[in-house]
Amino acid sequence: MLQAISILLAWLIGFLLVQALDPVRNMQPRWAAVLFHAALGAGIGMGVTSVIFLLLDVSGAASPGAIFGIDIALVGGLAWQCLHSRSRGVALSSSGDATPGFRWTWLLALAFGIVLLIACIRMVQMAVAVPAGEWDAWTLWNLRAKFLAGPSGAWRYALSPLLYGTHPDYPLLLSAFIARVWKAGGDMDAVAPVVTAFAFFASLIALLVSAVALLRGAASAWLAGLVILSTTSLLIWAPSQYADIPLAFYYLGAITLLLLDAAATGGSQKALFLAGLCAGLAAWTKNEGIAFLVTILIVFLAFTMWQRRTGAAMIRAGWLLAGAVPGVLLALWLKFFLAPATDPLVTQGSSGLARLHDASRYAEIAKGFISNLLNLGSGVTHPLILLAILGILLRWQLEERYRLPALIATTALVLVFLSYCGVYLITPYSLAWQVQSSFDRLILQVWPSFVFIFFVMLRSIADPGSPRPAVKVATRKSETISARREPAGKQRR
Amino acid sequence: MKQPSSAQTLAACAAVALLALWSTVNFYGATEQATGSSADVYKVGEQDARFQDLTPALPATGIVGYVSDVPTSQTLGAVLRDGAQYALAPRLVREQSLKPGAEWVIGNFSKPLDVTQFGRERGLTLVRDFGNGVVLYRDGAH
Repeated sequence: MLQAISILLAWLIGFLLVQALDPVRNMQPRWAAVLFHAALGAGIGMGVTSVIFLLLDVSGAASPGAIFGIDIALVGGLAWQCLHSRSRGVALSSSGDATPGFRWTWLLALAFGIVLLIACIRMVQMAVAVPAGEWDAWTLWNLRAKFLAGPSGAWRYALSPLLYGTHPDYPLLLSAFIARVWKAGGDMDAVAPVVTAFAFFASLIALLVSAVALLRGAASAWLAGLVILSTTSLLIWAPSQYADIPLAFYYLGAITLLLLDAAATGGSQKALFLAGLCAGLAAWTKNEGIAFLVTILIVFLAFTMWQRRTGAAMIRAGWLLAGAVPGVLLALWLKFFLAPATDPLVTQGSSGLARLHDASRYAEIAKGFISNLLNLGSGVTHPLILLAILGILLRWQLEERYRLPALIATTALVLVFLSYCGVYLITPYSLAWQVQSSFDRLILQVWPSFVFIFFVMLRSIADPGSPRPAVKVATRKSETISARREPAGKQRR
Repeated sequence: MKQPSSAQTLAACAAVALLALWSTVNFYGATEQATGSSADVYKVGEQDARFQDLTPALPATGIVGYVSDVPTSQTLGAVLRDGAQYALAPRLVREQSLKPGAEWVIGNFSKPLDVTQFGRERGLTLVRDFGNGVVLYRDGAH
């Protein structure tokens, strides 16, 4: 019971934090805005409370009383802030984008609901069959959670080089959140990691659907949901309790917020701050997240400077960096003080560079990429086939205002993925084993974000004559059509 | 670029919805084995029960030694050790042969054997045999 309350409080803290900053102010449809707040809030809440717990644990102050006390104080403070900002924002909340109408949207929603239900039933059965999760879950993430939830001082074992075959320098977001729930509840039952895994999976799906609904309309959103649920390997890994799904969530969170920042009517930089927070939490989830954080900061700054004055670009990048500060500080603390790297990948020095000259490694990585990309789904129901059908029949329509953030997001994701391939190139471990044991999860980390960008670029689905969300519709670089007049709040900053 | 016709839009939506439904049915069928008792290939779910009686006899945290009849260089040995580690955390399990010095040492055995003799050969005194291959020793040095 206490464990359930602590999970709910984490969600409430995240929800209120997102609500207070309201990155989708005045956007339509409202159900999608609420769902977006709930989904983003779940991930941010789990991340933020995980960070607070770790600080309590390391300082020797972690106890159920301290956890619930801080949670309740945060909920109270954030609820007050939400009420305060809402009372100030009443006058602003009357405008909104018209969403495209499509008479069969309800049928797409129904199909999504059926697919989600069937998938969830099977995933719950899979989780019940292996409640401790798959290999990495119980040898790494949940094991470290047990140390963090142990008596005072036991947290050090989570970072101990004496642990076999594990990685003491791996970031601790997932482990610390599970430990927090265990500590709050007073025991270490198997339910908490299972619920955490499902919470991240549900938040990932809800985040994708709601963000697409806000930017491209409800029909496109349900299609995006159907495509992501056709990704069989995602459904298989979701109940495994690995950190790849939480990482995919934070990548998607950062990228949706970059796009929503371009659509925002409030004229503030709150979406950028939250995007930075997500990128920072990604860096605190897995080492790959550090590559994502660095890449998105650099790419964002570079592309924004290309489009705007240097000063304005620096200010916007500053908001992104400000949000990322907690994740950056924690990652630096872990890597330089708590658990200096012992992984041969990092400590091998320049010897890894010699492997760059081995052409067979490039071939093996390319082969692994294609093979694992094909294994995302099965046969004619493969999500790439679904995307191809949509792309061919519906075609593209990238609005002018989304061009820069879509370019930033795509470039960052491609560079992050190339960095993964770079690590494969220089790894001192058996390449065949590394590719076989991890490549599918690396693809999954970026896959929801790619699906999201695909749907932002895809023409939104609407009946003929229905209003489209487009403000300025650009079909080719040289051809820009003003669909309707842009509201004052949407002028480019 | 030319806008898609209503028929194209409908066809795209219908195709994606039907293929997604088909995909989920395929997923449901393909993962049948992942829901049975054989899904827990490393039997990690059984380790809590195996070590249940031993756990109260150990300190709440700290380093405990570990010995087994299966070398941890073998897959089975590594799985046995990691399963024990997960069941016994927040205690840190450390192989006695690699780092002796822990007062309490866990014996984790894959088959019946003379556990007293096994311990004696390693300078360990049998404290209690909990059955099911789980044994508690004390290091003679303490």
